[in-house]
This record gives sequence, structure tokens and C-alpha cells, in this order.
Amino acid sequence: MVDGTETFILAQARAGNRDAFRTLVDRHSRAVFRVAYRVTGNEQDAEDVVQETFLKAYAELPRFEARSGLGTWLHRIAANCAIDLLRKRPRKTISHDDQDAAPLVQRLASPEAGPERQAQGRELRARVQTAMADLTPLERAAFTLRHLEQQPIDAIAEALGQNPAATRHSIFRAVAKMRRALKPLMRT
Amino acid sequence: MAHSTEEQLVAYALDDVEAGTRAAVEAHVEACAQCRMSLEEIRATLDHAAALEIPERGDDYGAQVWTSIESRLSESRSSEGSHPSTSARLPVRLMPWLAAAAAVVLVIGAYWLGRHNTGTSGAPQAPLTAQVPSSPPRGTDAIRERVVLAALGEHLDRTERTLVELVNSQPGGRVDISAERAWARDLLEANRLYRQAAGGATTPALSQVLEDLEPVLLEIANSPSRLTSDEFETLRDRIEARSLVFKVRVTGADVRARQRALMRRGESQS
Repeated sequence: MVDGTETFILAQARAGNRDAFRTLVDRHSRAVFRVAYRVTGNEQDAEDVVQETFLKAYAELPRFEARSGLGTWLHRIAANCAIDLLRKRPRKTISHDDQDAAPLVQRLASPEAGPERQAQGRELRARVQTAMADLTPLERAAFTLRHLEQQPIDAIAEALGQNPAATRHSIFRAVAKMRRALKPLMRT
Repeated sequence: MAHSTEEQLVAYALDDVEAGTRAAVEAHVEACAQCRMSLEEIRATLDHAAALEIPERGDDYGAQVWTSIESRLSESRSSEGSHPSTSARLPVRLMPWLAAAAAVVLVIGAYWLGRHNTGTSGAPQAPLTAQVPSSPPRGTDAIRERVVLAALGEHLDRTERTLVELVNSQPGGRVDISAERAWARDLLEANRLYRQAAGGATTPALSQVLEDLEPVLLEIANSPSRLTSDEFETLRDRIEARSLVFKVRVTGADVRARQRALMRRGESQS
């Protein structure tokens, strides 16, 4: 739910107070970026999605009903913006680009681990990225909102314009695809 | 014994099953090594996905985003066919829930009020505007202060208008104060919350005014809507004896002046 301070700032932003809206942008930008990055898998795309999210939020703010928290609402807008962006592109470009992926993989390797374990860790993480990239935009968005943002199925379904059963199936497909992709590397 | 389906196990791992299904899956997994292994794989997959590192964004990221969207905001709202008020003022009737929120905001505001207003309650208090901070708030802090000041200024303005309306009523026969009584009820709720929030901080001048206001607002709110001439005179004397209108006006002016000072400082820094 929206906390007291945010309720007040929200009321001001709804009334057209740009300072108040700026406060909301300041509070939520980083979290919105994380959602956008998880769905797009690319920093530049995520940046574009963040901007688009706040522009849409500003336009829609007078109609925001505060049934959920503002952050939750923003994350759903971000997921939709990310889906729109990805759908405009050919499928094969929906992935972590090489420029992003190389330094990311390097960062993920634990300096304390031995060389073999580091290599395994790098491979596993690279495989996770690839597996995520192979999901459809809808699967990525549904999976991100459910597993990483802990949003309820009904709310995700509403945000993505699906019925709850279809949303559950999108999430299931996402997990199943990733499981298959990671299986050769997993030691459970 | 039928195995759990992959879909059931995924739903279970994501905590998206009803209690009955949950119990059934748990019982089966406990007894079935194959399904237990599948569930462990699914959980490991979810853990790996959650562990994927996200590039960090700095503390100033919000400011960067703001810079990139600010000029497009008007276009954004008009393109959606929305016509919000351009006024940044609060609605005329401050709803109780909003008042509660405003009180919480005041806790934040009390921080700066406290920084600039630290005298003892018995000492005369310098106006807020005369107490220039050594390190003026910047960026988001300054914006929050302006939002807080806007709410507080609005509350004091409305309180002043209510009291002025009341004391300027013409006695003679019965005096109808039904409008002022309704306003006082709204203001009382907000005032109580503001006072509680301000009372926890070192803001004696502001706290004192809000404290003085509360019993008077309570009395107005609980009065009959039509007062006899004597009742009205008693009420008016009580308001005037405490110089409440004057105190509210001065405090409100200080708040607005502080608001203007912050605006000027913001413009000069930008």
C-alpha cells in the first residue's frame, strides 16, 4: 500500500504539482530501472523504458486508484513499456547485447572462488542471461513481475491484458524454458 | 502414485497454489524422490534468475531521469486527454486521510523546522524566514520541504479564514455558524495530526500555535449550528483573548515566506 508520506506527495502530483512528481521520480527511478532491465536485458533499452514509464505515469496519474502501491503500479507500466519496445524489434535482438554481457559476466565471477568454480559460475550466469533472452517479452514480463517483484497473479494478468490462467501459463513456460536451458549446468 | 506435474511444481515453488494443493504437493514431494529432485531444480532455476546482477544506478539517477522527461511532461498529459488542474494547491476540503498523510510529511518537515527554530518554549521565537540555514537543503530535500510547506501553509490559511469568518459574524438573535462548524471539524482532524507530528520535534513556536488552536476548533466543531448571542460572544471572546487569528496569520506568513525563500534558492541554483 501507499504509505502516508507518499499518499500526500501523490495527491500533490495528481493536482499538477511538478515538484511532487519529481519527488516520485526520484524515489522510484532505480527500482523501475531494475524491472525494465530484467525485462529488456539491455541497459539502453531499460533507460528508454524508465523514461517512457514516468511519462505514461504522469499522464495516467489522475486515474491512479491507489489500490496497490505506487511502486507496484509503476513496475507494471514499466513491464508493459518494455514489452512494447521489445515487440517492435526482430526477435533475435531481444537479448543482452555483447557489449553488456561481457563486463557483466566478469563482474559476476566471485574473486574468492577458485578458477574452475569461477568459470562454472560465469558459464551458469551467461546461460541464465541467454535463457532469459530466449523468453518471449510477455513471458519475461510475467515472470519478472511474479518471481522478482512478488506481484499477485490477478494484478499481473490485469496489467498484461491477459486472464489469470494465461498469465500462469506464461510464467510456467518461462520457468520451464529456463530450467531446460540450465539443466546441463546444474548440480542439485 | 501419480507424479506432480511440472506446472504444479512451478506454481508451488512460486507460492501460487491453494492450501489444499499445497498440502498435496508437499506430501507427494516428501515421498517421491523424482518429484523432489524436479522441485529442487525448479527452485535452483528461480534462484539463478533472481541472482542475475542488475547494473547499478547512482543516487542521482532520479535527477537524471527527471532532466530527460521534464520538458515532455505537458505533452504527455495532454496526449492522454487528461486535463488536470494546474494548481498545486490542496483540495478545499482536506480529507481526513490526506490530513493524516500530511501529518506524516510534517515529520520530515519538522526536521528542517527544528534546525532553524531551536529556542526554548519561553523565549520569543524568531520568524522562520530570519533563520537562514547554514547549509540550505538541496535537490530532493528542498522539494520535500516545499511540499511540506505548501500543506502547512494551506492548513494555516484555511484556519485563519474560518476564524475570521466566525469573529466577523454579526451577533443579534441567533448566529448561524453551521459552515464554520463544518470547516472546524475538517481542520480539527488535520490540526491534531500536525500538532502531534510537530510536537515530537523542536518546533515550539509552531507547536504552540497548533496547540492553542485545538481546543478552540474543538469547541467550534462541537457547538450547535445556531448560537445564542451570549454563546457567540463567549466563543468570540475566547478566540480573541488568545490572539489566535493574529498568531495563525503570523505563522502562516512565516511559512509562506520560507516557501518563497526556498523557491528563490532553487531557481538560483538551477
